[in-house]
Amino acid sequence: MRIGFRRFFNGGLHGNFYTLARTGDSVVTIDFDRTIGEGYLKGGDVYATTNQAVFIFKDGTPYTFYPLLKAE
Amino acid sequence: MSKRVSSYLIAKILSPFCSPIDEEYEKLMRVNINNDQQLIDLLQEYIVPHVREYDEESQEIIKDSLSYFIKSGNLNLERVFDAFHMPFEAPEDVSSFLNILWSVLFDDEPLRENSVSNYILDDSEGFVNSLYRKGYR
Repeated sequence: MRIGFRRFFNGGLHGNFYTLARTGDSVVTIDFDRTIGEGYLKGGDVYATTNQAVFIFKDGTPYTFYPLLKAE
Repeated sequence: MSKRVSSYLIAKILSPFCSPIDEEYEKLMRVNINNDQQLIDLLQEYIVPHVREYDEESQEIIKDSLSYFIKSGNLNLERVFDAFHMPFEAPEDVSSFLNILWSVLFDDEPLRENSVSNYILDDSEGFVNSLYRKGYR
């Protein structure tokens, strides 16, 4: 399996974090007003930047978050 | 009236597979999602109870997105799996995967009658996060 790679840019994340716990969902996406991360899609051939991040919760507890490279 | 849909909602349906912990990752990697029976067993164990926890309005939103992507064939599931760190290679037959997902979740209920042209793709935060667990709305 050739995995993708992604990282956040420096500068902090300033978004509508109230969304995170509002719905009780375990996967929450947040839009930012600037580009917040970059990476390569799986396979390593396609570089992309993003203004979205995804936050994952396990049993209601924050587990991980990372830049969300476009799924389209 | 046009309905909004998003490939990210397919990821949310499959969210028990997003960024699994190590033990789950190793277990899930052994499943062959190209085998119909293994896929059905997997979906019934992980996805059915997860989706049942969404409230009724959210279930309708899920049905819209799933119906759209089944009808349109317009889903790059490899990208979805990659974007949300799922431990599978994309299935060889995405259409079959989505149809099995629908039938496991909604039994004999038919797909939405809307034509593909009556849907709008919307990956915005406001729409993607419009699924609520029961009791949260």
